[in-house]
Amino acid sequence: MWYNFEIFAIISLVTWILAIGASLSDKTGKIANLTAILGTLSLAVFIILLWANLQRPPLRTLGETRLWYSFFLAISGYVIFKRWKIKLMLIYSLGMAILFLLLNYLNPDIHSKTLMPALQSIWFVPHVIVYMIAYALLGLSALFGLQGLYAIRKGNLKEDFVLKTDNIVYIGFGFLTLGLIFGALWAKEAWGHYWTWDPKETWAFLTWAVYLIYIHFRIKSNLSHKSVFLILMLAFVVLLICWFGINYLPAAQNSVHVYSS
Amino acid sequence: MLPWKYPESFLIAFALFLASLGIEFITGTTAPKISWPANFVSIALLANLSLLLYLLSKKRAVFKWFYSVPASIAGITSFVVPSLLLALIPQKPSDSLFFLYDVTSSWTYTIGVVFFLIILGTVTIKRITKLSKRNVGFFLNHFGLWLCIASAHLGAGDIQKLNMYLEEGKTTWYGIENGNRTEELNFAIKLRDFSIEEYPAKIAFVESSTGEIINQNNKPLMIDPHEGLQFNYKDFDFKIDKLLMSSAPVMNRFEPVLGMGATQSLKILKSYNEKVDTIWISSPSILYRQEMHQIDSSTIMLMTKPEAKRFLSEITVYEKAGAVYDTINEVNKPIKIAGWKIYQTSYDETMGRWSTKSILELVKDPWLPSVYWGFFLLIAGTFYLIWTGKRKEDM
Ligand code: HEM
Repeated sequence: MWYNFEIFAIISLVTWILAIGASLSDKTGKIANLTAILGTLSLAVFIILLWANLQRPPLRTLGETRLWYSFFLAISGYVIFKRWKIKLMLIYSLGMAILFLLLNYLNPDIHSKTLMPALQSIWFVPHVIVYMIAYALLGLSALFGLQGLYAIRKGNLKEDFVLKTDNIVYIGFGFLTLGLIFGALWAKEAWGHYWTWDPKETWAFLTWAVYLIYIHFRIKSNLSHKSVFLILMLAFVVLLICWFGINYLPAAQNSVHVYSS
Repeated sequence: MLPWKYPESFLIAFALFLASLGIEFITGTTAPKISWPANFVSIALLANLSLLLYLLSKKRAVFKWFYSVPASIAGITSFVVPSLLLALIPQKPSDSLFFLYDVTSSWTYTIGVVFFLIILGTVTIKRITKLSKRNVGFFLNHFGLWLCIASAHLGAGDIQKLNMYLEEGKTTWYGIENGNRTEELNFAIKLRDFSIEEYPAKIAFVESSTGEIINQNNKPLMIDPHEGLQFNYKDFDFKIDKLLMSSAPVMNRFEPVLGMGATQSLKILKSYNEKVDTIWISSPSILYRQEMHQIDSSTIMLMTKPEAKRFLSEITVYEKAGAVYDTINEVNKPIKIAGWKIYQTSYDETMGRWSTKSILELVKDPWLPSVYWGFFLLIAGTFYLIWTGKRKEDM
C-alpha cells in the first residue's frame, strides 16, 4: 500500500510548495488557497486508502503518525490563515507538513521504530500537533514584540499592530490550553492519572499561566506598549525553558518526558 | 470605581502567603486531605461564598474587588508561586520543610488554590448574570477552569489506588495499597497468560576496556537491525543476513526455537579486505550465554537487551455479582471492572519476555467525570477564543 505513497506525496509536496510561493507574493491569493486545499486533499485521500487497506486506523508506526502530523498541520495552518490572515502561519504549517512528508519519503519505516508502549496512543498526534502550533504562534508573538519595540523606537507603531499581536497570543494560548488538556487525557489512559505534577507538566502549566496573566493584564490596562512587548518576549523565555531547558533542571531527572539516555 | 488596584491586590495575596507559612510553622502539619462528603460540602461552600461576594458587591463597592482584573491576577499568582516551587525543587516526602519538598500537601498551596477558586468563582458569577454570545464564551472558559481545578483538588482525597500482583495460573482477589495494606476486592482476576512483544534489540558498539557504549557525534553508537541492513565500522563492512526474534544457540550458530529463555540473535556477514566472515551475536538471556563479537582489540559489537513493544495480560475476571468473562489488559488500554479502572503497568523485569508475573494498577476516581466536564467546557471555550480573538473594546 505504501508504494502508492509517492504519487500522493508528490502531489501534496508540489501543491504546498506552490501555496507557500503564492502566499509570499501578495497578489495570488486564489492560487495559494487552491493549492493549499488540493495538497491537503491529496494527503487525505492517501490516508483514507491506507486506512481501508490496513483495516485499522493508521496510527501505529512513526511513519503513519507523520502522515497525520502533515495532514492536521496543513488544515490548522490553513484555517488560521483564512481566519486571521497570518500568512506566516500558513507558511510555517505547510513547511512543517512538507518536512514530515519528506521524512516519510526518505525514510519509510514500515516497521515501527522503538516507541515505548505508553507512547503508542491516539493522543500522541493531537497532543504534539497542537503544541507545535501553539509554540509557533507564541514564538511569532515574541517576534512581533521585537518588531513592536523597533517600531516604538522609530515612532511609527500602529494601534492595529498591538491588537494583532494580542490576537496571536489569544490563538496561541488557545492551542496551548488544548495541548495541556490532550496531554492530561492521554496521561489518564496511559498512567492512570491526568495530572501528576511531573516536571514537564509543571513547566507547561507555568508557561500557560504566564500567558494567562498576560492576557488578563492586557484587559483595559494602561500599561505602556513598550512593557507589553517586553513581557511578551519574557514569556517566550519561560516557554523555551519548558521546551528545552527542562532536561537540565534538577527537579526533572525522573520525568517521563525526558527521553534521553 | 474599583476599590483596590494592583498594589493592594498583591499585598493581599502576599498577606495570605505569609499567613499560610504561619499556619505551616505553628501547626507543623500538612494541610488536611479531605474526602467525601467534606470535599463536596467545601465545593458547595466555595461556590456559595462567591455568590455571596457577588451579591454583596451590589451593596458595597469594596466587594467589586473580588471580580476585578487585579484581584484575578493576584489570585492566579497565588496558585502559580507554589507551582514554581514544584518546578524548581525535586519533590520528596520529608518531615521538615515540607512546604518546599512536598508542595502539594502544604498549606501554602492549599490556601493559594482556595483563594484562586474564590476569585475565579466570583468572576464567573458576575458574568453569567447577562446572557450574550460573548458571555457564553467567557462562561465556558472561566467556569470550565473552575470546575476542573475545584474537582481535581478537592476530589483528590477520594482517589483510591491499589496494585494487583498477578501470577500465571493463579487467581487474586485483593489489591495492595501503599505497598503493604491489603484490601479485598469485589472481584477476582486469574492471569491466564502474560505476554510481551519485543522490538528487535539494538546493535551497540562497546569499548572493550571500559564496557561503555562508544559515542559518535555525541550519540551512542547503536543501530536498529533489520534483515539486509548494511553498515560499516572503521574498515569493516557488515551486512545483516538473518534476524531471529526467538532463538537458541546450537553449536556455533543460532536456530529458531520458542522455549523458555529463547533470545534474539543476528547472523552478520563481516567483510574486510575481500575476506568474509560469518558471525553471530545475541541478546542477553536468562538461560544462554550472550554471544558478542570482538571487532578489533578495542571494540566489541553486541546486541542490547530488547525493549518491549507491547505487553499485555490475558485474564479471566470473576465478579462477586456473578459475571465471569475473559478480557485483555494492555498498556494504554485500561479496562473497567466493577467501578475500577485497571491499568497494565509492569511485570517481572528480570525475567523479561518470560515473566509469569504481571502487575496491574487499579484506580478509582469518583470525581473524574466532573474534571472531564471541566475539560470539555474548556475545550469548547478554547475554540471560541481561537475563533473570536481579542476585541478592540478590551484595549
Ligand atoms: C482558561 C483560562 C482563561 C481564559 C481562556 C480566559 C479568557 C479571558 C478573556 C478572553 C477575557 C476578556 C474577554 C471577555 O471579557 O469576554 C477574560 C476576562 C477576564 N478574566 Fe479570564 N480567562 C481565563 C481564566 C481566568 C482566571 C483563572 C481568572 C481569575 C482568577 C480570570 C478572570 C478574568 C476577569 C476578572 C476578566 C474580566 C472580565 C470582566 O471584567 O468582565 N480569567 N478572560
